[in-house]
Amino acid sequence: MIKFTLRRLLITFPQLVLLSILVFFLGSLMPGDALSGLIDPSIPAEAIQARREALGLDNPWYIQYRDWVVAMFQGDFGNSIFHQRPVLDVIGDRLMNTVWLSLFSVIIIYLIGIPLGLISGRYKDSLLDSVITGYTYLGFATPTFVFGLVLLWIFGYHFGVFPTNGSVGAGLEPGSIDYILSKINHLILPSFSIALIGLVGTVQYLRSGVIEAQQKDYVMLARAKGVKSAALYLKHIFRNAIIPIAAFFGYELVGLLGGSIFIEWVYAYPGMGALFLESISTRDFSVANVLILFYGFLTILGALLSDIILSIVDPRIRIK
Amino acid sequence: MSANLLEINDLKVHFPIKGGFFNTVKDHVRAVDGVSIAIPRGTTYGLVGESGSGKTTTGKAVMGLNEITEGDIYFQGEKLSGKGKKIGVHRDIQMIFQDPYSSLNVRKRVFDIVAEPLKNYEKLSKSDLIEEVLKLLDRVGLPPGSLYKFPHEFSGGQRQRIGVARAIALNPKLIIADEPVSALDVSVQAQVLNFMQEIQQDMDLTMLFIAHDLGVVRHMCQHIGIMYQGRLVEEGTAEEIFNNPQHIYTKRLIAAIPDTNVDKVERNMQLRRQIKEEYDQHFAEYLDEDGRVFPLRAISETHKAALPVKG
Amino acid sequence: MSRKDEDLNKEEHEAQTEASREKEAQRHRAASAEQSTSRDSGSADPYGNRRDDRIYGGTEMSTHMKSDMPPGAGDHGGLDYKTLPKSTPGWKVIVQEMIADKLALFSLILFTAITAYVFGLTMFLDQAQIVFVDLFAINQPPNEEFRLGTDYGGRDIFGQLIIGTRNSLAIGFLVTLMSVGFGIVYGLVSGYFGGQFDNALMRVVDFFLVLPFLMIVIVFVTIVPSYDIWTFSAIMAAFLWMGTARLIRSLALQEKELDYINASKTLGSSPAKIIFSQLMPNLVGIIIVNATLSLAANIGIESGLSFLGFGFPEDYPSLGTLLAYATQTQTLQNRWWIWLPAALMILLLMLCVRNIGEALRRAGDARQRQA
Repeated sequence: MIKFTLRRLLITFPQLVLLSILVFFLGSLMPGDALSGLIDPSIPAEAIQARREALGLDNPWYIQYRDWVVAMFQGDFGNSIFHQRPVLDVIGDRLMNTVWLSLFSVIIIYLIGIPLGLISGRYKDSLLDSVITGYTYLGFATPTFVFGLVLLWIFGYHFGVFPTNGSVGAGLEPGSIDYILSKINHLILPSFSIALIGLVGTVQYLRSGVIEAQQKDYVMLARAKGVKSAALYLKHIFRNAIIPIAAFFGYELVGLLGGSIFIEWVYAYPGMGALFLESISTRDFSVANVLILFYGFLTILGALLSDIILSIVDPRIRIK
Repeated sequence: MSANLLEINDLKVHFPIKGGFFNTVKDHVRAVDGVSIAIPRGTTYGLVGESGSGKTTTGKAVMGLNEITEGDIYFQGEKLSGKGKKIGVHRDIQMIFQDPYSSLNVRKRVFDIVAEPLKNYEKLSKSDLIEEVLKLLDRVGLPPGSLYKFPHEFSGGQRQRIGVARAIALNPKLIIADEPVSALDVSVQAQVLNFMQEIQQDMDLTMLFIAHDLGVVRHMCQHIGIMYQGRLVEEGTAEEIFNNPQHIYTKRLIAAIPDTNVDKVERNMQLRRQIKEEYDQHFAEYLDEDGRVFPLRAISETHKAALPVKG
Repeated sequence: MSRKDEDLNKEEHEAQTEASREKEAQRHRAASAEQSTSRDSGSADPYGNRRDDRIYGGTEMSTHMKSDMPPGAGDHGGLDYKTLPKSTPGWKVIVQEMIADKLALFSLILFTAITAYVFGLTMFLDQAQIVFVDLFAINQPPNEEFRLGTDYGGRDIFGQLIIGTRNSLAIGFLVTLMSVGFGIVYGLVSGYFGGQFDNALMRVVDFFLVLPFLMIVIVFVTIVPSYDIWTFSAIMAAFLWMGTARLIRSLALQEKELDYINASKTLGSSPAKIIFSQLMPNLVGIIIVNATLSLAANIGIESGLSFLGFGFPEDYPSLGTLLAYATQTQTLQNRWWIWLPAALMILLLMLCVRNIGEALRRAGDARQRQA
């Protein structure tokens, strides 16, 4: 167990280094550098050159890379040209919104997806199963953003029951009950848009897991020994079908973080995904760059987390 | 030039077992552990042993399909092997594979299968190539109508004939036949064996015939070697092995050959039981303290057996 | 030809189709197990007993005839190889399965019709005419002149839908071709050579898998200097080949252990020849299924990027471009005819392609076959 975790960590480290190098080069490919935002026609060219040298912009790439990494470890992620503030602050404003959105989505996915999957597998070929299977069939073919648009159109505009943009109502005092309720109200449509499409995979996975487990020898044996159907499903089948779902938690969460870009765009929800799109269109590449690094970092962590959970749950993984 | 077409000296093929934190080599499986074989030109050498005894690995090492850990292989007096490397592919050494189903590519027509070696080594025009393949098919007893068919349209015996046609296409000098009939119906086995023998005589081939069945080998081979756990336990001419087996393992193998003579059933059963008893009691004496077979010792000029040193 | 021969012929024929199906099935079963890692598993036990039932697949005939000669062996007169019989039953299974699976058949017909229609029609449609800004006809609902109304620039939505569908399909095909093509070569090479080489190549795949796909693509789209349909496809494909590569690699690892690969080695064929002319034809079924399912995904991804404004430029509309109009409140709220048809078209295309892909996969899996 510990051995596996350590070995898995060993793989993670070069991935992080590679990711940072990639992001660094993406950054140098992007137009503009740390000085572009400060350029003022009144400043003479010599002064700019002096600033360039002071910032090390003419150093070879590996020196610049090293300086960049060192600066990040000291908490300096550069400045946003558009916002004229440190990148970290800009992202910090949006971070929690995306975290809430993802968390809400994950909860809904598990809350709805797990029962649907278990029911569908338990009562295979029943009418209920057909309905659920039909739903997953459509869900697989529907891109999240299309579904989000339709939900927004119907519930946001047509019926007008939910807010259509933002993350909180205007003029509410942070911390008050109204503020929190407004936040939740703003989260409902976006998170359901993500979750109702996102849970399709979970449902299908569980359904086939349950159907598969029904035919396993140990289930047959339990049945032959006279274990009651209800107990059989609870103790033997469902438990075994759910374990891999639990293990995929890391991937799921990270996948949602990345996928929320579309939904944040559709609902004009001020999260990190929307921030990324804004910073690209305002050519504020220093923000975009840090966001890529951040998402990449999260993906690596998510994969690590899931692999470790999997190795606890399923000893076969450890041997590989 | 020596009289032996193929000489294998002290061949070792070890496969590493990996494990541990850095996936380092922990131990080795000694698939072949010091085997020496010499095959005189134009003869057939039978290599017999149970599955896992290393006989196929030996064959594949000669073919260049396995890395050689140690030992030398000489072909026509020329050294082929290099330590820790695979032997380069040699057009004069060809192989007939055990499983006629997996050894033919199901997506290829007979023509493409048989023409493959010719395309690799000889620049022939399309019509010459077809001519050549038809000749080969005729030689192995398949009608020209087979030319554009797929392997699945043939029975096991027919497929093995296709495999033979492919192996002899380049007029090789040495053929390694890896249990060529063990996957076939018993009724077809004899046919294929007879036909292989014909081809061998016609083309003056030298053959290394690998089998797990002494009965099959008896009809095919002048010399026989018996393998057990990567080492030879006994080696000699066919008569010596069958009429004067020295090693207990050989004895038991011979006793296991089925006999169709109904009158002898009782006698055979008794003989088998007796040898089994002897085997159970004394087999440990035939192994050294590491559980390995002893080195071969000469009994006569051609006959060697791995008998315990105490004599 | 004697009666006995005729009987034999029939039997042999039956044996061969049976055998070929069985073989096909086993191959795909292993593959569908692999595919189930993408979480839509339908099949349990993927490791049926591959070898055993093949060995006794087509041998019944030898008990009839004492020799193991093929039927018709006696009557070969002329050696005119051009008239020698050929046979290709493999694809028949697919056709049968397609016809039996009404939904897939319908999807196939519909998809072909849409593709033919949009590609055919756009050859005659004047693209400049459609994207022509007509300020006298802005934001019109569907009427007789404009079947699906117009957008804020007075541009005909129906025409844009047709062109958009064509562009989305074209880029879908292009990206699939590139990503699946590269993935196949990568997977085959990695699996065939195996060992440390394979290990290194797979670490590269792992790395690509942890990259935030959408963001990286968007950045590349913005910074690439000469931006056209080819660079756009190449950028997308550069981050979409890993799934195929993994799938093909794991199959190649299994397949290369079979003796026909060893045989090719000993017959002096070069690795490149073995990989592409021996190994690859045996994975063709999986490759087709994988490509079909990738196509569906790629159409979705492209329209998503265009929706965000990082796909095609506006004068070169795709389905996503039409959907992007919906980010304006007025359009989303009051002018459904602009974006809803595009949304339905995406749904329709993805469903069709998926249905076809699933049917192809079932065609490879005897236990799920409907024919």
